[in-house]
Amino acid sequence: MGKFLKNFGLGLVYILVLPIFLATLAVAAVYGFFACLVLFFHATYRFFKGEDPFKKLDDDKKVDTIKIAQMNNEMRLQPAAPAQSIPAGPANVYVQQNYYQNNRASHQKEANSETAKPVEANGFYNDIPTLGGEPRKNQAIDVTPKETPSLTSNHSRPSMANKQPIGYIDIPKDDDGKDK
Amino acid sequence: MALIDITLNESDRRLLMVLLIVLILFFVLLGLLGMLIRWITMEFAKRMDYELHDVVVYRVIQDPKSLRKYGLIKNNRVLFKQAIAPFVIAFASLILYIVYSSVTGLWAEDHFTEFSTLFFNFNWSDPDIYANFWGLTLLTRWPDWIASAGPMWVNAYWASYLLVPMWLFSGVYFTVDIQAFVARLVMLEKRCRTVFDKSLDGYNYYDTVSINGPGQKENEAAKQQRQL
Repeated sequence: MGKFLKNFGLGLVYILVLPIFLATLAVAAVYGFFACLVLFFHATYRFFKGEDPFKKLDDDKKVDTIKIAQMNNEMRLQPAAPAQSIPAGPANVYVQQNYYQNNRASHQKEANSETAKPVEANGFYNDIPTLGGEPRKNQAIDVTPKETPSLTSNHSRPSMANKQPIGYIDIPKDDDGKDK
Repeated sequence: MALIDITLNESDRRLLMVLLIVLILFFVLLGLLGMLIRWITMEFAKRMDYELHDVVVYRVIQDPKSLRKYGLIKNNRVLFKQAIAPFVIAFASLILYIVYSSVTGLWAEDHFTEFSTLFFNFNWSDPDIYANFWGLTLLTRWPDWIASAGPMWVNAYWASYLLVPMWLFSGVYFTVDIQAFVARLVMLEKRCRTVFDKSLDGYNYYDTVSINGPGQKENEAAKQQRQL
């Protein structure tokens, strides 16, 4: 009610200053008429020169440049963004491979303890067991998008080093390389 | 003894009551009309915010003078785009008027009077409907309807039936555009004052002096002085 009364009072003030408002409108109408004429001839001249009717202002050009640079930057960084929100992305799928076919039972415990070590969230295998050799250290399967330098913004790739594993996918594998 | 002896009979009291109610209604209507004008003006002014938004948010313009210059150019262009429609209508009506008048030879025809045949016409020139009250000429009753003056359709007035609506429409349209132009101009001035405003309200120099940093002694002294 108080707000309505305030608006009502301001409305009455508008009515009181209506003559001044109308005089302002009359002056603005004269100015606007001539401004429109000038703009019309100017736009027509530019149009027949094969240009845009209105020249793009320098400030608008700068805004467009900034917008395009931001858009390009966001498009480059876009693959990294869903990795945090989507739990089952390729960067945090943990592959558990069993390389022991014959003595599966005896090696089950070992397999669980050794091969279940997940791929780290940054896309690097950590202590992968190999057949008859030393485990390979830090074999790189880089699945994270690379960041390219940006013109305008200094966005940094979100850190994924401390991400906890969400689950494991058990893929049993025989010696011959065929899945059961 | 009263200075002025006013005696009112029952009829006068009723008349005063009616006058009072009419005055209150008139007052309320004026307030509502003012509210409407204010609301329309504020709605028109929002367009200037739209025009200025990007250059301010992306910090392309960094001072009020440049913002005012940019806003004026944008305001003129918006006015031009909005005024295209009324200008086209007015130009078409001008062409029609010239062609019609040159063909018929009636350059001084009263098109507004001819157009008024479409509406009810009242005899406003009747002197009996007016009264003189303390030097003011007031209307005492509604004038009589002139049945012979309309409403009716006269085929010979077809040009007036086209021209007058075109003139009225383009005139009102351009007036509304000008109202929007003025509203945007007012908003531009307001934004030029507020967007780059630096205020020191509630700021105290000594509140921001870091501990053991430069000015700490003065800070302590000022605090002690304030406590005293």
